[in-house]
Amino acid sequence: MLTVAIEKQLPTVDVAVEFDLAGEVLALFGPSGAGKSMTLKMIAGIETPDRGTIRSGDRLLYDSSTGVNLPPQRRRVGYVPQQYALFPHLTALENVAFPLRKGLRWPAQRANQRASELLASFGLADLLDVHPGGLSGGQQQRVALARALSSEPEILLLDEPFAALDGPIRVELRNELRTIQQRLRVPAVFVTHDLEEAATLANRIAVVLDGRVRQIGVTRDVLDRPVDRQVAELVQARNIVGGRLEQAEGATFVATALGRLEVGKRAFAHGSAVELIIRPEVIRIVRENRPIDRLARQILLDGHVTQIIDHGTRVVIHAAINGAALEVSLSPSAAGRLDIEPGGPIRLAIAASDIHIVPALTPMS
Amino acid sequence: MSSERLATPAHTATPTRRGWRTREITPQVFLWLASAVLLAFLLIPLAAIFIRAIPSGAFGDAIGDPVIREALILSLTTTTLTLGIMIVLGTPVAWLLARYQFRGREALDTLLDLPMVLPPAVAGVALLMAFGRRGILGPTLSDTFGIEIPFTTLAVILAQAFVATPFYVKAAKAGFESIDRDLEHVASTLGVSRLQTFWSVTVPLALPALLGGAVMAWARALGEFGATIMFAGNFMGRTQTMPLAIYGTMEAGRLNAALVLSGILIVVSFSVLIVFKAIARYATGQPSQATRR
Repeated sequence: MLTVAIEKQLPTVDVAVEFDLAGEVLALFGPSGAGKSMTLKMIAGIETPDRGTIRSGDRLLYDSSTGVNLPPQRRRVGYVPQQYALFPHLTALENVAFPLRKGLRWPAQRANQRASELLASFGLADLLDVHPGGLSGGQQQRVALARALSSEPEILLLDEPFAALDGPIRVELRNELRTIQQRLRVPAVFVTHDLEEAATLANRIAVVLDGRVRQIGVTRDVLDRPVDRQVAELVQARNIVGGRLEQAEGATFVATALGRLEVGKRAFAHGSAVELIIRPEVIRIVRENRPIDRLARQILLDGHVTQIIDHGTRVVIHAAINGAALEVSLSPSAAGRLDIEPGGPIRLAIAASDIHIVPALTPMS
Repeated sequence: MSSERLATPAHTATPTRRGWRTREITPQVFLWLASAVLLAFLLIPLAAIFIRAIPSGAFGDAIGDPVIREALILSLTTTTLTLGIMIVLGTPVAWLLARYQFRGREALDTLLDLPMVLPPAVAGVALLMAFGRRGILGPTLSDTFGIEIPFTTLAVILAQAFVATPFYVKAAKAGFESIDRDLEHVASTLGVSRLQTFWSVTVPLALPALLGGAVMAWARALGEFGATIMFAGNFMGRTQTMPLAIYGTMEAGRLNAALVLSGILIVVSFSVLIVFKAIARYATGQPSQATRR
């Protein structure tokens, strides 16, 4: 169990992050310059926070109030920086044996034995004597992971693990890393600005913006229920509609560009400014001959199709409703059954409970 | 193909063959001429030493010459000791400059540049004013500890160290700075102590820069003349290093001895440059620290 609550003033941003993790993978997700990498370095002990506490299990790694600040050597934290930082003058084997020989002072033979076993388990048995310069980006990453794991850390910290790689190899290595993590069960924190990476690798996501953890939770929850518009935009929520909330006749309504929508009972003050977040997957397209009464508890919106974009695995239909834009996402087969075309009419149905409502950000926040 | 076209843009501007040819060739002739003149100017004097020394049998006579032998031995011992002092004291300074931000860092850096541009005679006066009999530290050293520095072999070493150390410290600093800090950071998270990391990561990676700097600094120490003759004097077997011996033998009208000493120094200097270039080439040919894809 890793518990982090630290602050540090940087020239560009004031970092003040708080989170914990236990036996899982946490993604620190957010735009660059938000203080994510610095947070990892502070956990590793490479940088020192201004104040706060870092605890790993029952061990106190850093505590400003009692003056505890363990050096990196005694933190048992595996750290893999962005460019992996393999020792260029050492072979793959020597890199992985390095912590065993120089840190734990194992005899050479035992260290090399253990290192070659580790490398073999990463599928690198043939590359033991190759220097980092002769390895591909993916191989370098695996050597760096093997090296970090050879000292048996309690936590693994990965800074933008895939930033140095491109294209298909990224996806491949992502899947590989997940397999490795699941096999070893080492709790891991990794930094990324790539939503897909965060979503596929992490059990939980901490959205970091301007040095703060703005939202932390199970990946699905964060993607479906972002806490505010900024987080919603970061997790690439598509349909974000501003409006003013009204409490009337025992129900809640929101006046928006789409129209005045009844959204069920919501605990917001009458008159408050809100944002509606409607995921493209929850919007349904109503076929013309469909009896309206079966959609009694749904919000119905009429408009016209502006664009149909086939993304291969999903088809996205862009619709204009009273001048406001909405995106609807369908499977290609569902889209094929529909009789719609750009410029033609369209009727959409949304269950009120599928609309996620967040308070609008005031300029102050 | 393309580089040729880039090199002769005049070709398109002037329609006739004759036109561009005359325009292109004139500057080329000048380039070659200038190079030939300069090359001859540098090469002829160096060659002249050997042209005069070899036929006269000067090298053969030199074997028994005590002045030459003593100068050779003294130069080798003093420069070796100087090199040792430079490495022991200069490496930590280079590390400090490369890795730490502190008040006066810029000042220290500039101060280290100073001996490189300072006339050696000034360095000689400066050393005398510090350690000489009328210097600010000299009397104390002499009265309290019984140490007399001026006109001793120690003075030779101090003069050499004063002028040559910056060459090593500068190169070592650049070498340390070129090393990715993440390598040291990662080593620390792997449980490896800072000292251990320094020896097994930093030094091997900075080695070409350290060696290159050491070679250049050693060559500078070997050639030291101005500061030495002022601070240490010109006493055979005690302070008369090779450059001083050249001056001394010339003064005494012993041309052949001067020629031999000069010849040796030319060969040594030339070898130093070859070694330095080989180290530099090895360093650039090493697998880069940046990630290759």
